[in-house]
Amino acid sequence: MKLRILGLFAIATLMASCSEEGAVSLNFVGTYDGEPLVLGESLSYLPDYEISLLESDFYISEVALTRGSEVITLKDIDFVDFTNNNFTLENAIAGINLTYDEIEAGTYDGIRFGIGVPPSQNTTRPADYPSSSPLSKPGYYWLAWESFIFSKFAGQADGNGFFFHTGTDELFRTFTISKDIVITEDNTSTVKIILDHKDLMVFDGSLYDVKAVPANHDPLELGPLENFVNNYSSAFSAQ
Amino acid sequence: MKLSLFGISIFIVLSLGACKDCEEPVDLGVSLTHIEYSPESYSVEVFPEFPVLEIPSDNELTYDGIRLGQHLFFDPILSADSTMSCSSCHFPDKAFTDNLGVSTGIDGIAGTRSSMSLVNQAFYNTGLFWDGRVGSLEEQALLPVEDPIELHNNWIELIDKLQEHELYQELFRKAFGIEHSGEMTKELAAKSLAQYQRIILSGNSLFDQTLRGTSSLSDEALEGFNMFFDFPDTKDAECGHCHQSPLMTDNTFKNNGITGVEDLDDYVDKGFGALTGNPLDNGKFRVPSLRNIELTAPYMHDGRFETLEEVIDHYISGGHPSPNKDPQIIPLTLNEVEKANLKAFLLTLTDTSYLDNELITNPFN
Ligand code: HEC
Ligand code: HEC
Repeated sequence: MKLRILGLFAIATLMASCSEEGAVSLNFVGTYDGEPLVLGESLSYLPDYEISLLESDFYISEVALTRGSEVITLKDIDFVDFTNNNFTLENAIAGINLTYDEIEAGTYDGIRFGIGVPPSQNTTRPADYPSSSPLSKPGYYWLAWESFIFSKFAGQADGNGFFFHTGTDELFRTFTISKDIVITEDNTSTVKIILDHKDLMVFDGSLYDVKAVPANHDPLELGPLENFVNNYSSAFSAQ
Repeated sequence: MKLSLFGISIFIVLSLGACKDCEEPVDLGVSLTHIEYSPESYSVEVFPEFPVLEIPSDNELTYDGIRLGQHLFFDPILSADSTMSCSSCHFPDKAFTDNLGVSTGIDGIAGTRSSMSLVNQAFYNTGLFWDGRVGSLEEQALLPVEDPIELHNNWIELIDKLQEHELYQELFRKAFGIEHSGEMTKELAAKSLAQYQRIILSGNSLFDQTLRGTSSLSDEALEGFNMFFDFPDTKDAECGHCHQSPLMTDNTFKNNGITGVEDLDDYVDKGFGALTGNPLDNGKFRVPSLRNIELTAPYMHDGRFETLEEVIDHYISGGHPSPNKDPQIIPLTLNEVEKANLKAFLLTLTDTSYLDNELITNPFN
């Protein structure tokens, strides 16, 4: 009998400690020049031509909350897929939610994630993963680089295709967005993370001439790609 | 003989009796328990670079399951007038295509789509058919039998025929352990067809052997390979963006610019868009694997190109304009030698060694 009470007590304590956890939902919203990004629609660009975007997606990795120097990892890899979301204004406004649970309740001061596949995982290949893993996507590996493709960004400029594909360890970037995030018991706190796509296309203070250079994916011509991945830090903001 | 007939009739009377209170009496058919049921699992040897083979837990591969599917695949009993089988549009030696622009069913009515290769089906997990409208091989296998422009039969009549057919009584019993012929169903037929198709693999072409270091490409094909996958120091042909190794497809749906439209609603065949309802998906089709492309002419979902030269010329042109033409389809500047090299590479993707597996070839020959 005593034992049983002890057992019950143990369960109760366990439950109590479990319930001091909450969740965070990262709400990724894609915009263009501050407006919700609707793929396929005409967007003003350089003075002599407009563009439309048709594809924007990327891996986020080592997703973590920060508290001072403490880093609380939430997920090793995930995929933000505006391509299959932002085809209506409604979807564009709603954005994409990636939710992570079992986070200790408390106040955190930022969110951190990498864009792409971290070097430690970039020695693997899509075929190494079960179809349930975002890393199994066969279209996100580039044989010539022996690297995952970290992000795809593509569209048309006056009817002509253009695209940026990033990849290779040199182009892996980690970002920390400062923001107070309060996780409370059994609740989901939402952090809106806005990615402005026009900001991604700024090169040397002007917009990149995608009509002149439509294909940007050559690891030997890192210039534009390096610029592109560095742009993420100014293109992201949190609300 | 008399005894067994007696046995069967007693059995039927008894079972009918037992079912007096059931709403619908079930016709159990003949007992099959005298046929041995000892399933032996079949393990597939997957090529080392290929993804993990994921098999539904309710349809594990067995020798006898595959054997039943193999018989059904090649047996014209599947069509209403017993003239056509799956293999009438999917020839094993043509990587399971039929070399027609669009396929024609038993009534001579031509469809609107070209037959598809059935190799490496086990890995196409983002939707089957040119437009992705079917989720699994199990689901797919139910469709051709009743399709009016394919086998134009109906499953009720077909199952009746199969239930009375001694060979199929035996094959179903061995595959699934059913006890009576009345338990032979279209769902089990579909499962067996799925098992059969899951083991058809192709991944030992000269290209694969070269990557494994056991063979080597000709200089021309090597140049073509470098262009295909945009390796540095050769011109980029951009093909590998969509036709990714090892499957030579990225398992997505794309618009490769074969049809020009001004408005997204103007596509006559909306393809993937008909499934998703997203207008930006209109005119998108499955990126087909290029494995065995040498054997599968004519090309594209509607068989519009007869030769690989025509296909390559299409890509060089940058395709026809449309608001959702894939951004990776851009004009290429390949000269005649480079075109020939690219083709030489495509010809290294052939591997029909699956024909050596007697569970794959026509069992009636
Ligand atoms: C009349 C010709 C015809 C017959 C008979 C036929 N098929 Fe097909 N098959 C086709 C065509 C055409 C397509 C592409 C259809 C589409 O995309 O709408 C196809 C597609 C398929 C696919 C999809 C492949 C992929 O990669 O997505 C599978 C699997 C398949 N057939 C299996 C079968 C089986 C099993 C049978 C017999 C039960 C069969 N087919 C009978 C013509 C035929
Ligand atoms: C943007 C993605 C994309 C790129 C890049 C691409 N393809 Fe394709 N390819 C497709 C799609 C999608 C189809 C099927 C289109 C259809 O039938 O409507 C296809 C079909 C084909 C076919 C016909 C296959 C069959 O079974 O009928 C061949 C051959 C082919 N492509 C070769 C190439 C070559 C060579 C290159 C490079 C010069 C290339 N592709 C670049 C997407 C692409």
